[in-house]
Amino acid sequence: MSEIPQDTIVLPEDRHLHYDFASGYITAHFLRNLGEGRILGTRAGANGRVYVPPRAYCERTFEPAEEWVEVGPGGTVEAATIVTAKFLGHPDPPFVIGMVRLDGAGTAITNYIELSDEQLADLDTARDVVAPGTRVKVQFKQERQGRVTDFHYVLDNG
Amino acid sequence: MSGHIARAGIVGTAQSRYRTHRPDVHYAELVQQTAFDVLADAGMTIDDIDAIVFAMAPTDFVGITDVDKWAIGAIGGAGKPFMRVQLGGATGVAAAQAGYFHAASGEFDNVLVIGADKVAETPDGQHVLSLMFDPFYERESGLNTITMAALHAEMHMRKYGTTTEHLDQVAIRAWRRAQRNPHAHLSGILEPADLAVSPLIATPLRRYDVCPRSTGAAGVIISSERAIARDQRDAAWVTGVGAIANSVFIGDRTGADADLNYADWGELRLAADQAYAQAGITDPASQLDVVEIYAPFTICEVSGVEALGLCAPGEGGPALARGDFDTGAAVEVNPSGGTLCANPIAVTGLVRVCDAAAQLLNRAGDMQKARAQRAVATAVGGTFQFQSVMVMDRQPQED
Amino acid sequence: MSALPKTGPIAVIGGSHVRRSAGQRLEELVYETAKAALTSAQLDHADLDNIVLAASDELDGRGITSMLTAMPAGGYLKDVNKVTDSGLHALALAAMKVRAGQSNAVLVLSWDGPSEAQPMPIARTALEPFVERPIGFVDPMASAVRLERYLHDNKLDKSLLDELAKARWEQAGNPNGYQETLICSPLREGHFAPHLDSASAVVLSGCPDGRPIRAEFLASGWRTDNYYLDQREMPSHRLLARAVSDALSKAQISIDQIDHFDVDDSAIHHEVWAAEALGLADPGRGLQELIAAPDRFRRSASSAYAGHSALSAGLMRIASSSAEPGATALVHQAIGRAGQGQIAAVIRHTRTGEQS
Repeated sequence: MSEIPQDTIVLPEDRHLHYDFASGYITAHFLRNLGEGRILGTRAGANGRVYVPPRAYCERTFEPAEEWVEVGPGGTVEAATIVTAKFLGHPDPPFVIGMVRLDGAGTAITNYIELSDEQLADLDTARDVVAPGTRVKVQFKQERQGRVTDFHYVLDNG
Repeated sequence: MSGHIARAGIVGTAQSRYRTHRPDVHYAELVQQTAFDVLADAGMTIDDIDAIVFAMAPTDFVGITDVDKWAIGAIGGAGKPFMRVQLGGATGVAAAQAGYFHAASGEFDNVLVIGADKVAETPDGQHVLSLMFDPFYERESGLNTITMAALHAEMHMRKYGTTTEHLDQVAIRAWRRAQRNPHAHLSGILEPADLAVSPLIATPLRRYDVCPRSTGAAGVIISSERAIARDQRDAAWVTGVGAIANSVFIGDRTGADADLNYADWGELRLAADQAYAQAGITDPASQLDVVEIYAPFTICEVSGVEALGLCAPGEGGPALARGDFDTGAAVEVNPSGGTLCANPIAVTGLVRVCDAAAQLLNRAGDMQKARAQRAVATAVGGTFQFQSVMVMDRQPQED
Repeated sequence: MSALPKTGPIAVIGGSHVRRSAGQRLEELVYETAKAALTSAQLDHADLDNIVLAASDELDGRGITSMLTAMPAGGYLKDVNKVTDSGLHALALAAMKVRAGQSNAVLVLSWDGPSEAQPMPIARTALEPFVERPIGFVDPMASAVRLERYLHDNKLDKSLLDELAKARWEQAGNPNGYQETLICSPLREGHFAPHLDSASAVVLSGCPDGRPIRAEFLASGWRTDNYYLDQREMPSHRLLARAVSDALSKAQISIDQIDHFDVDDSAIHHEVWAAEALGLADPGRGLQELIAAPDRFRRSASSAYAGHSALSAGLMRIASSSAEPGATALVHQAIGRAGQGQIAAVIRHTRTGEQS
């Protein structure tokens, strides 16, 4: 807080509001499958776009998207950024966030891309390591909770 | 909806000075002062106002749900027709458009569009912004307003060869222009050397590529054609409005089968095309005089001038770095310094409208561009997903 | 020629009301509601040009709820705007867009889902933080204070509230729903309609192109008063009378031409004051007169005691009104703490399948 003028008051308050977000069946199925080590998308129509993360509807055609399609585990970086500042609720920097198109998906899903400390030592080099077109693959955590944080991306060196 | 649109115009504008904190006023007092100022600018009293549109984005920063309902008395609005527009960062222009619809529909004569933000009332601003993402899919994915802009910058740079030096020039020139803006939060002389050592936030964005968090208020009064004629007022006529929404998921805006690609600001182009068609603008670079783009990051000024048709795709970086849209140019972009120099989120779009309209009303002070005839204001909200564009003209469109 | 504002009625070509199913994702409720409204309007998604939403970020638990709901509402590469006041305010804005020549087909959609949130703590955050938040002067306390004054001034017994409330629960086919637990005098739980998570949508068209017209939207009027109860320009029933008068004067009809009054009945005092504001009951006599004639409003849509969605209640009544052809209905909604805002819309029903 900057300097407070004399004769004024600052009233502090901490707010806590609890929410219980309903997932619906589509999101729940996606998250449960993450827990099983699979990434699923939904497709609208026979030749429709495959949405990852899945939606119950195609945003473009406004038709239901109900067919399940498994995607990945390989994928291609559409774009990535290396975060070097500390944000509340985020990991300690530096870390990499990337939009990755998983094989078989029509859209890209954002998540962390793991690089080694060595790779992150020089940011210009690191940017090139995760340049658009870079192949990555999904890596699941050993202990999964059915949340989107159950997986992240690693470079696909093989 | 191309062709001439129902006539209404902006007859008054006002802004507070922007800074990080305003501990000397609470929210309702902050917006009240600007209500007084905009009425004075239009030569009106509150009794002349028939309806109010309130511009307020997420209330999480000020910590008061439906804060507009508290502020209504302070702006003399009690008992009047009143509604609040909330479209994230696009709120300001979306609210101005709603005010225009109030007047252009024939339902109201003089409409006050006003709002304020106290973005720094919480120290947890970036956390607040993270709450706008999908709770299941993206809240824990590392996305926030800065990283999503960084991804856009990465894509634009790789597609077109836009450089850090281009972005540096955008910041340097914005800060320099803002020296003539009495409302600006940030202004001054930046040197490339200062920028080179400034902290990196998320590649390729450094500190000066990112707008500040600002507190302040803005307002305009929009009047119907009959009220403008009756009261013989000067007006910045609204000649075009456009708006476009896209998916919250930026990952949808990638790949071969995407309609729009996240490397470009295609949604802004579509919204501008709608507004241009109404306003009869076929060659923006020659027909526009002043453009106030809501560019919260340097990269957005680059992709913004391209989307608005002021230069070819990929030419934005070099053009801005050369000063092609700087003071004295045929088209001046963000003569106010723009959002890089003040970002009171709820009203940042309204600030763009104020700065653009003030140019046409010849009330822009040291920022005034001589004989400005036509201006554009834009706003953007969400994951660069909501676009709102308004074209204004010194003259009403001829029949 | 420059476009002139369109006057006269605007066609209502579609509507929907969807109850949220258990566990349904908010975005999927919005999609289901929008899809149903477009289907009922026989309108292709591609022919929709505008969407106006009304929602509360705070109740949705989404910082900018339209970010997530604009696409399921059908907003892909279309004009989307959002208001926070009520579904009827969104309808008013949508109608002004049509009148200003900026829309041919607009979907108005509103919802609220407090079952995901904690409405009372959120209401508390809506209090101004310096004077009223520490006291916690939220609804229903704020309404109760006004109501006590009303009972006192008119020498009425509070048991009249119970009597009218019981009649309302009975009319809604749920006589056991009445709960006599006292919340704050004189208000009991049973004086409030039960909450329902639902969404409603209405499709307005400036040029229906031969599509069946369900009703014509004639006009709406809305007013919002001071936040502080003691500084209000007028009591809420007078504010409502002003809003109704605005709507009627824009519609160029008189109140005598209204056949149905779908007033806000989310709480007993709302409908009592509405009856007095609309001249359906004498001042100070609303309670007794509504008890004596429970059907005085001649409603054309369901009672809130069958389930009430705070933000979208008025829009729901436009979407689901079942008035006879040719009948004119006035739909009213109170918003904010202790009726800070009042809005009324006037629609005229057309014959089933009437063509434009």
